[in-house]
Amino acid sequence: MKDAKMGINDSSLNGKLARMNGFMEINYSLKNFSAGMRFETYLPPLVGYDTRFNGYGVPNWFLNYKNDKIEITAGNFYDQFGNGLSLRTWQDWTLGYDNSLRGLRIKFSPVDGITLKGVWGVQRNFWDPYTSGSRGIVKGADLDIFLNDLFSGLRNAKTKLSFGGSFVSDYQSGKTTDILVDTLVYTLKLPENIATYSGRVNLNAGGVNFYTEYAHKINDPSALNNFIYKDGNGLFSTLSYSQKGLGIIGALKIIDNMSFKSNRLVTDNQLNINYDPDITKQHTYALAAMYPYGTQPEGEFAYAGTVTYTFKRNTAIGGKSGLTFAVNFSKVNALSKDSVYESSINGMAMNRAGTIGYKTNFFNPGKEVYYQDFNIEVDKKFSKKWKGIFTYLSQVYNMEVIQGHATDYGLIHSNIGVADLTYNITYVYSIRAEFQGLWTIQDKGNWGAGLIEFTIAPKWFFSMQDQWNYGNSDIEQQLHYYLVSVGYTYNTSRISLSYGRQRAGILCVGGVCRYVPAATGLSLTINSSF
Amino acid sequence: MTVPLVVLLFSSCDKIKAPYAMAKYGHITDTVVEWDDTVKMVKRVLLEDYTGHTCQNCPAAAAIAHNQDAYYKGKLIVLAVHAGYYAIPGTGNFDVDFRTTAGEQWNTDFNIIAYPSGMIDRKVFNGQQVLGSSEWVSDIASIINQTPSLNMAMINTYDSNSRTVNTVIYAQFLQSLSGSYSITVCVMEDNIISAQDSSNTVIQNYNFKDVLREAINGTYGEILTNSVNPSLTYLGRFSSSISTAWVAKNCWILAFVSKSDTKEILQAIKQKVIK
Repeated sequence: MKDAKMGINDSSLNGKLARMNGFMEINYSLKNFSAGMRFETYLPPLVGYDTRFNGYGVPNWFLNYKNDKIEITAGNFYDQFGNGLSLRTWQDWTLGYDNSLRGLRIKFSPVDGITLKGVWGVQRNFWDPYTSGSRGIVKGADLDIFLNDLFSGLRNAKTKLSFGGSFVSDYQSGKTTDILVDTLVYTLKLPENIATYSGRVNLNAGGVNFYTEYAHKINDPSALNNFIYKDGNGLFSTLSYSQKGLGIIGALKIIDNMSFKSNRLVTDNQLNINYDPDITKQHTYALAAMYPYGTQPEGEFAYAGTVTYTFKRNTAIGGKSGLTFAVNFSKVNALSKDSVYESSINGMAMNRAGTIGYKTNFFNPGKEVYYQDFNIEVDKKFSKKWKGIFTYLSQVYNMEVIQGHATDYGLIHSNIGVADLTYNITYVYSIRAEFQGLWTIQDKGNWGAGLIEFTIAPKWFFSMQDQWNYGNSDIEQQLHYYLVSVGYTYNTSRISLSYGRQRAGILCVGGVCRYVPAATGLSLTINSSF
Repeated sequence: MTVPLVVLLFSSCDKIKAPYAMAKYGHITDTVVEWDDTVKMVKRVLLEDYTGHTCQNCPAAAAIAHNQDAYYKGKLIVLAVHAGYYAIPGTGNFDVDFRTTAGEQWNTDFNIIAYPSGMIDRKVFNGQQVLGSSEWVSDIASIINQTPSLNMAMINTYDSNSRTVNTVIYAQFLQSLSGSYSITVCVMEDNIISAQDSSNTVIQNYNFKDVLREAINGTYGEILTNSVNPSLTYLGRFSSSISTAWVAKNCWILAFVSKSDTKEILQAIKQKVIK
């Protein structure tokens, strides 16, 4: 509905006062066979969802046969090789993301411990039917070997080792294309077959787990990388240790020109063949998630670490009920890149179309900071009735790189505090309150947020929340973003009704983001599974 | 089933070798440039000599053109366009082909049916645009000392490894003019030795000069401007390949600006590919 303070008027609404996203998924199985379909409707899509979703249909269906050795799927399927550096197809309803493959998938296990997968198909792109040139044909194979299952002598070993490799190729027709570079039109030679291959190892010994995956992609000139011919490289590694009461995990991710799409001209979230895993912490509290990180497949150097420790009950720090303490740090920098000599201009160039693009020392981070997050969370149960979660965050956010908005203030430095308190009145009634504050002198300034939620277990909840941009330098924009909600759960069905304002921002899931515009109105959500 | 799949996948991999890109044709921008006084106020006339290697009267016309070229010391530019019947490759020493797509199109569009024929800045003289060689001397003289309405300058940079010449052309109108103006950029080659028929005999080692080899940005070029602004300099950047069949040190880049509708040429300039 209209909201003058938010800039929502008749022109921006354009007559679309009511919108709907909905789907129904039906799966049926009989012995070794199963089949399913998903009907989707967007009439029109909710605010913030791509308008190309407008319409309805059955974008997803499958037929499947599975026995001990082999599994065959025809139709739409989702799959992932390793951590996705070479291939990951997935779907997220809240993000409006679906890059499923439609074709054939075969999974074969000739013996225990060896799994072979093969995929061949084309990706979903909204409602567009596949035509030659609309997008490429994706084919891939993956081999996974779990030694502990392969060799009977290792079955009961405490040390577990697996390794695997994959090869993914995308065919897009078109041997040349014309582009404009510095006022000259160039004809580029294009690779019609682009391949990515990867290898991975996973070692688990005692409480230690080590995983590493490396992927290499051959030349893939595209609109996203400005049509350069540099090969791509990706490395993802984690090392963790866990024992009762203690968990430590570290992660390293280096990505160099690893965007891999089945249409070289696409620059948005569509038609990704692979996946750039996000190792920053995904926050759920509203102000902590104000500035979420979106992965940069063209180049990033990221590392992160988390230590979680539980102080036992009846200790000085743990108190009567114990206390869990978690500290997390993550940082993402640009990749270090150097320009290269280009004979056509008799000079050095960086990312110039029609050239190798740049050179990089893969293990060197660049100087530019994309994102940094340091946070401490304390989870404490005070008594049978009271418990609390207290979080402090210090974040650094590069708006220009992550959201593409040029700013005059450079990086956003913010401090965030969250107190989340729950009081169990009885076993049935409970009340939860959140108090949040975000302090920054950049972007829109300081925010305060509060939420109060009343729950009648297991069926009802009522909540009121508000986010207030009290620190905005424009007094007219020191708005309250209020929201009242009520919800009812019955078995596996849930219905909720909300009314209020949604502030503009970005929503990220696993490093993939979409823009969420400002909106005011009533929303009804119904979820049911059966 | 798995092995053929793996073999098929591993063959699905196109590694492109450099060079990755080839410049296609030019593009125009505008800016303000400080001009060197020495390049100002020079009117250069373009004489197009439509000819062919089996045209018996053509060597005589070519001689007139070259004499005029020498007389006007750089103010006249000659372009030999091999087109039409007498340019068709023959047998023996006449099996070479000097024709070009642009030359053939001009030959057709300007309705050239007799050889040798010429055009001078593609202007109309006494009701005629296509001129016999006997009219060239007087028609050239009537316009060559006119005040130019356009200044042009050209810089060529040649890369012998890739056989690519990068050309920057500067053009500034000296007065406000209405209408749309085009720029056409060509490659010419001198000192091509081949057979030429003449009125007396076949000259086996005839020296062909000013031969049109290619119009690199299209038969009628591309739009320089649709709205002349005399305070601006129009920059055109072009990149052209020098074929291995041509001798780079004998090649020139020729550029001329013409009215887009009438094709009348305002100014021309040429520079050697290699200084």
